[in-house]
Amino acid sequence: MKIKIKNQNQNQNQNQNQNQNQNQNQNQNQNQNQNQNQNQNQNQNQNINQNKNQNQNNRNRNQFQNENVKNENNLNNITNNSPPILFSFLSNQSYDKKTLTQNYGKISEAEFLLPCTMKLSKFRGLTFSDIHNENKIIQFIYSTKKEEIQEFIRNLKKKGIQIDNLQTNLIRTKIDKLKEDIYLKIQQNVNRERLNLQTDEERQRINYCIEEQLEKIIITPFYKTIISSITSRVKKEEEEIQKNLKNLSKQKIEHFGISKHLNNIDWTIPIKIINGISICKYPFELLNIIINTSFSIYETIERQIRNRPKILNQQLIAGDDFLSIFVFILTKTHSDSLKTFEDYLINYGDPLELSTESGYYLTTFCSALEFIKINPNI
Amino acid sequence: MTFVTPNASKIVILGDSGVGKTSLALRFTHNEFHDLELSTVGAKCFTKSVHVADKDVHFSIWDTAGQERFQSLAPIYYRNSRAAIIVYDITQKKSFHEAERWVDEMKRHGDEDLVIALIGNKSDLNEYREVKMKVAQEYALKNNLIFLETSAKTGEHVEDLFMKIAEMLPSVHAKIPENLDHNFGIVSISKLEEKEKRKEKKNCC
Repeated sequence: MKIKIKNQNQNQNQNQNQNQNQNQNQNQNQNQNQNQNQNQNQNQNQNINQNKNQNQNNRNRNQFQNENVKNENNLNNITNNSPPILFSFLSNQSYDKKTLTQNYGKISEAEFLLPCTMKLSKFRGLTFSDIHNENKIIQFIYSTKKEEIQEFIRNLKKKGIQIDNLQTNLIRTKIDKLKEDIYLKIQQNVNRERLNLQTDEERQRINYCIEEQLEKIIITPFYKTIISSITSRVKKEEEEIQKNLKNLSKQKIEHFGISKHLNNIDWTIPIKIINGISICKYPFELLNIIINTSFSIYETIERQIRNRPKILNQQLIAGDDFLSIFVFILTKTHSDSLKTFEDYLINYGDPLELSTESGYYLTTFCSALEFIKINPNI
Repeated sequence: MTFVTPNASKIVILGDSGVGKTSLALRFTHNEFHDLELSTVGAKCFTKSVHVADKDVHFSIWDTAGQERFQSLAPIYYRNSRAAIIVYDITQKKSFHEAERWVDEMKRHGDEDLVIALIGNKSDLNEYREVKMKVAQEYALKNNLIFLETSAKTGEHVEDLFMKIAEMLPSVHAKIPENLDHNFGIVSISKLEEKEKRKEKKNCC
């Protein structure tokens, strides 16, 4: 915390390089708490949006400084007021809800879910060892693409965004184009910046980082419009799904066609994770929730049948079981916007993910939702 | 996009419930058959690369649900597939008829360049056979399909199946094997070959 205050003072006193200061603050914030990235980037987006209304460089500079101070204050408030669950996760300590509740008082479901989700999202390479990459990517975005992004957002707002296919493509196409440009820039500077791009996995990690940052920056100004537009577009389907979900949620697990040896399993954790879908804002977050739900299904089975007598083929989860379990878990969600989220993710998410393992889990989610839509009863 | 992972060719595995789709994918990608020693594994997207025609071909293999009640969802899975492996159980005649239905569907709704393989799995259970190899072979020949009988349990011809698919993928532009390998019952005539012939004809004119 001392470091942050020190930098805050530095920002107030030094007006030399607004971008550098901004990046420094972002880097420090991220190093201290990955989970607050969302808040932080929302603040970054505020910076962009606010800047677009300012034409004078001096005013811009002052604005950035003020925003940096605000960001620091916001971050301090968050870290001071939140239970230290996030830090407990960061230090790899137990995140058991009961223990944390005893130590830190009542913890909201979202606060509990977030670190669980974060832990599982290691699958996607979003570990804290990637902080260096992430910092570099933010630097690249701000140093090379800031004005282009600002102009894009300004123009799109001026036009008045109407979510149809054309507009969808505009936002997604812009993100894809920027991703490619930024990646090329990173490739050119790979040695200087000490980034690793040798293996597919390393390239994939960089891709995730760029995607996340760009989604946060570009989608944020249009988020509400996009969601409300999709909501009205899928209203009928959503109502159908909700109606069927209501019926299906009363059914016992035995009726979902899951193999008998999996019927006695407690699916609490995957259900908790999928319920985190309601607090997601960006496509990559939604995808993470779906991936983590899928992984937690395997983890749950693994954990709960570990001590049972092993019977041939009973550790093999067939496609039918996996989809049936997913349908069952979806019937236990509290979200009334599942179709909206699906549409949002498909239209605004990273198209590169669609043919990967992530795409498989997304497809399972879409299939489960479609199954619910067309089947009022199991 | 010029970056991120190499373009993996998506392969979807279709077929009746219980024919061994997941086991087949697991055998190819991990060279394992599920036995008592393994931890929980299951339906997902498996990945593996093979080297063919001096190229590395990356597969993204998608397992699917086979139950009848999920059949209408299949298009969500096979969308953008480069190849479809349609599996039946040689000890279950019903599963062969189901495979025929899948072949029809893929021919109707799949991409023009879609490579289709018909696979009779559980060849290790020959004494319980209900589907004659000759019948399946003739059906495959008639429909221009790759055909093999495999055993996910013993691994028989599993590797061959994916090598054959890799050779047939348009993206690989692999040279068509001069002599199609009939040792394993391969009777496919590549669509690529047909395409090239069509191209040649056009050029002649």
